[in-house]
Amino acid sequence: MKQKISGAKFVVKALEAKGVDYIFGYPGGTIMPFYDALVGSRLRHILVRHEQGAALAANGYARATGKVGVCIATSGPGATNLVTGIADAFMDSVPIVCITGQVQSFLMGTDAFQEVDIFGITMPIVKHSFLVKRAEELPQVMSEAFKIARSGRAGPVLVDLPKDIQTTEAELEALKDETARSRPPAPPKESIELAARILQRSRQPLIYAGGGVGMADAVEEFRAFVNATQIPVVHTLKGLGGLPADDPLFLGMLGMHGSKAANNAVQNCDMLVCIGARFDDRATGKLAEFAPRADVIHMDVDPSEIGRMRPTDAPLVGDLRPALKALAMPLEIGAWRAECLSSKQKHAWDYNAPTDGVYMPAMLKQLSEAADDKTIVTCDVGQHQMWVAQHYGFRRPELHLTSGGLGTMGFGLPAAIGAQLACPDKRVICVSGDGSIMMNIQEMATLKRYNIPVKILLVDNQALGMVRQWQELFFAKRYSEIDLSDNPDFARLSEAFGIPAFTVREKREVPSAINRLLHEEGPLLAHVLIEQDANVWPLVPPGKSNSVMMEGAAS
Amino acid sequence: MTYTLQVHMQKAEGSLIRVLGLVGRRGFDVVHASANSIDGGKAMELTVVITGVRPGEVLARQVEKLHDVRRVNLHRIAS
Repeated sequence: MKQKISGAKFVVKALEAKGVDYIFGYPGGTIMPFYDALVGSRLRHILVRHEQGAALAANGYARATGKVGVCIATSGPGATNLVTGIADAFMDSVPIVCITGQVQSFLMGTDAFQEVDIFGITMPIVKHSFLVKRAEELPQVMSEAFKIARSGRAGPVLVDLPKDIQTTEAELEALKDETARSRPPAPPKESIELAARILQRSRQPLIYAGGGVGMADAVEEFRAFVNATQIPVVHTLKGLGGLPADDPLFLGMLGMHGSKAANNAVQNCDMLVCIGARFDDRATGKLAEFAPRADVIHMDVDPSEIGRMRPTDAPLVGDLRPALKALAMPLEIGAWRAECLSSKQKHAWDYNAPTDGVYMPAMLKQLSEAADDKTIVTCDVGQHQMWVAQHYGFRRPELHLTSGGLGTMGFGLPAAIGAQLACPDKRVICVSGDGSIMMNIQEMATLKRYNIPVKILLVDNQALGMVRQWQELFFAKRYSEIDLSDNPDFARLSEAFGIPAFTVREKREVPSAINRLLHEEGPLLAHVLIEQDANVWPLVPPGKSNSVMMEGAAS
Repeated sequence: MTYTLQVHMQKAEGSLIRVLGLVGRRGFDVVHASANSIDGGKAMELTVVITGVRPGEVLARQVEKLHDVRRVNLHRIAS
């Protein structure tokens, strides 16, 4: 049924019809009609303190649920502040819809106040975008925005809304309530048969599985496939938790900071079964020497991933679920499996560190052992992110929210806000660093305002640790702009925001810190000091083959 | 490698520049380009001659994925 309605009211109603509950945003001049229409809506708006926080909170919301995250900003600086969060969603295939105000249509192209061509600026980092030129386009635009964001390989969609479109009244057809997501078609039968044939003749197969498994909602089918074939598994950063970390067949993360067992298996396998992964350079190391003897079966929903980085012997484009079901067959690979498992045992992590200070890999391991399957961990970017990936044993992929492709420092706290609001029955811990936390520290005020019970584990080495590590190893210890020894007192800073905090300096304080992180009500910050010279091991030097792994003392 | 890429697309805000931008970002140089409105202005046909060292087939699939794109044809014309 058509009704006469303003563009802004229509957009609010469209969001409601699409099943949106939370939206993350920040008001300003050109988006004011939308904010006016929001009054009385059942949408719950979370006022962030910087638009990047809105885009990343929507991103965390979407990653934790698979639903579309929504963020709102005004034109000009409001819109440009979203850019990093949009790029992050693009790189990691996260479904978000970003609505930006725009100056009035007649002012566009005149360098008007707070005018910026956000449609043009974001073109390389969106799955699709709309610039609405007539209010009559709104029903189709809003409907397609949600459909595009979450269909196939998910991604961000931008809707740029000039102010006059928001205020114009038009006869518009209301959107139907619709939240279901359609599944992509199954791969063709002939492709599945080809993959089955080459899989059966392999003697040393390895599964290389990425974030696509969780995003396709195919974790159960993936686990059944692993269980039937008994092929050892390596995960990418985003794939972690596809197979539970304590599964005997899980060899660890592959790549730059991967485990030795995982990288050795990749180098020695004769068949690589790539599932929802994309041969990213951090995973492959020197591409020409990656899995040099292996045939490749590549399963992905995105046809443009096939052969993009590595030729494929059997492409399986489409829904992962039927492909995984069809290939779940027993294989005769006992000798190879034994070799992989013995390598895993030989290269197991050693958590004995000769220090009274806090050894972060051990603390993260203890945290993961004490936490349950309803604990989501978000990360920032740097050394702490790699320690989480290596040492926190994930049991489901959607419990690990990490900025993989873009590597966005500042991701952790806003993503935790989005995840916690989306999943009120889960516990959310943001593991951050002293560099990263300062990139979106203003969102502590958002935690306080809505009393969002996110726990922050702030790992403080008083340095930009990953950069420091690279300068130590690859730039002859010429340290350049990595010292953060004049950091604020983070516990006092947290308290100034009204969020309780405590500081941990010694190993013996770790058990009680973990206990507080897991069991206290409300938001909390644990400020954990570690040694400045702690490094992430092992490490494949940039541009080198994954067979070249550097190891430190306590790795 | 040099290719001719023909792209049939729905005419929508930014559709032409979106295709050309993607071609450049994915590592191809545009040597020649021409575009015409068709179907009474509702659609557009773009023909570009491009060179690059990456596989043209992968680029064609990347262009095909764009929401406004209806059809893509790729012809290799020189190596």
